[in-house]
Amino acid sequence: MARVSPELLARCLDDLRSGQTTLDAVLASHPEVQQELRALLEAPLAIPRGPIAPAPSAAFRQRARAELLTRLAETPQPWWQRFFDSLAVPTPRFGLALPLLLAVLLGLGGFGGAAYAAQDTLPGDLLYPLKTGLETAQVAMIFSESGRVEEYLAQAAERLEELTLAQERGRVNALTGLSRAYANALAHAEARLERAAAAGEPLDELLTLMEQNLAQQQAALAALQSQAPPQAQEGLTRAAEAAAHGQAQAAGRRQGHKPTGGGQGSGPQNGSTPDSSATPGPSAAHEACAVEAGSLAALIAQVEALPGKGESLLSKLEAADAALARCQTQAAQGQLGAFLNEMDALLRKCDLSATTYADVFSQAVSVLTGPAGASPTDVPSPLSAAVCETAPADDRSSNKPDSPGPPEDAGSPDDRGRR
Amino acid sequence: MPDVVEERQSLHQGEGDRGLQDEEREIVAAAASGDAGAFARLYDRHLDRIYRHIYYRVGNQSDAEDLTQQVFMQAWRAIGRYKQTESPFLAWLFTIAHNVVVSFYRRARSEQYLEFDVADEHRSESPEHVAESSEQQLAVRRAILRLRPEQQQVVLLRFVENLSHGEVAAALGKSETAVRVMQHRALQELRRVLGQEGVLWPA
Repeated sequence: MARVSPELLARCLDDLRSGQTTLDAVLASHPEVQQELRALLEAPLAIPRGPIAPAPSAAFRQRARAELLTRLAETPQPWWQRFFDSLAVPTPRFGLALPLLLAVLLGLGGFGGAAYAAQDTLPGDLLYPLKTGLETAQVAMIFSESGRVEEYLAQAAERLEELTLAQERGRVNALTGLSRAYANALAHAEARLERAAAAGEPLDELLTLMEQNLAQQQAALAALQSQAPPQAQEGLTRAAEAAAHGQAQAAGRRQGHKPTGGGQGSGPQNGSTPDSSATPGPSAAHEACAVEAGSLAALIAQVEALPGKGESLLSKLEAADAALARCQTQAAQGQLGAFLNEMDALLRKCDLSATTYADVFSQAVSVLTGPAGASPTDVPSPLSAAVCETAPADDRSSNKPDSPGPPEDAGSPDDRGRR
Repeated sequence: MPDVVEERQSLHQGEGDRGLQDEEREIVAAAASGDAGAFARLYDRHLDRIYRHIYYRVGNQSDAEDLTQQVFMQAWRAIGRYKQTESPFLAWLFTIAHNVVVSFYRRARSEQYLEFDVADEHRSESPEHVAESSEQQLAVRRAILRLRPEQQQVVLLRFVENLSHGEVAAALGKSETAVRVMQHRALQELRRVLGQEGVLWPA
């Protein structure tokens, strides 16, 4: 028995919409499905013509417009605009050092233009590290946890845009790394959200925004996935899972209860791992592993961007990734420990700048302390930039305590356990 | 059938409106670069349609006003990420409006599929409102709001807002094929519910 296909229905609706035919004519031209087609076309025909609802009142128009203009003036610009705006305002955390340094760079020419030009770059492009570096600096210049949540959400949105751009440009090799970076940004956002909630910061508006944005992003990821090549599917699936998880976390908090279940960025789980007896349960453990893999993916993307010295580091991270895929978190921690040891060695040999070291180290520690990760006492602390005697003075100074660095709960250099 | 949709404004009405589209692109670009005045012009242009769309879904003036403001504030925050090549600006606003309404109902812990009670106490005697107050219109609205959120969105954008398949696809971030499939299912369901509401004979 013939049925009305979605394509046929759409064609009939378009024909009717164009005004070139009538309902009777359409039905007459498809006698084999006439009854079903009539039933389907009757539904939109029943929707009455004319205004669908009252117009807004004049009082609302006037009041709302004035209110909107006021709020527009108060609302921050996009992050990169805020970043450059901030150059004119010394911040308590960095004092004048960073603004002055950037001002000098701007004075030397090209930096501002380069930063602007970096906006549309993708992993592998010359200016991409500048873009991600600025993002890191931007987070460091925010003092509220809720502000950092917002910034990490903006980073996730940026990664999503890059995913779209990469797909448009046929850069399919970048899709997996960007998917991982997207998940990682959300993991950071959730971790900061937890801190913001603990600090009693007002979160209502932020949670609503987070929930809505992540709902939109899930739709965008689904669209990307429908056109992505097979090798990018897994990464995009993980990204979509991270978005769904983040949305659920935001919704749960907004509705007044603390989300449970080993969520993304929910902090260390007292050393319990999916392969230990203290595991909260198979599904929670695997969820935690998936989240960790998302965080690790961002670290891999970061290391992939390191010029000339990434191969050995990458092999350790890929081994950790493979272990997490089997949910063997202790093995993954061992590989991450080896990775950090190699990072230390590179810094000692001055093969790595202190800034890059601090940045990557911090990211690796956040993976280690994620939901499936190590306990705080097992977390290593970074070396001082001074171990590299020949490091440039300004580079060493960038690793001072108030720069983006290790988490507060990192152990002392003496109690490093990298296995 | 044509009279159902032709009177409502489409997003792209042909060559004659090309100039308007170009103008809107320029305004959107200015707003995306942080020009609040340009954004206010977009607000003036699209306030009515967004408000009416939201009112249709929430059924009262007070919530419609609050949610409309939320839509424009969110649009301002996110306009830097809006890509002009992907969907018309109004379609993008409808997407935000849909999400705002879905969140509103979640917050209100309302029925699973966004059913709502028509709030007679909010009704005014304005001429515009009289136009929407017929029993059949209310029954159709109830029927639409009994659909699943994504089906509601497709029906509203296609047959109330008069967007094309391509525009709906852009607004929802889906392929046109997927939108046609969603439309087919949504109309099957709408037909069934309209039968229950007594608007149409049961199929």
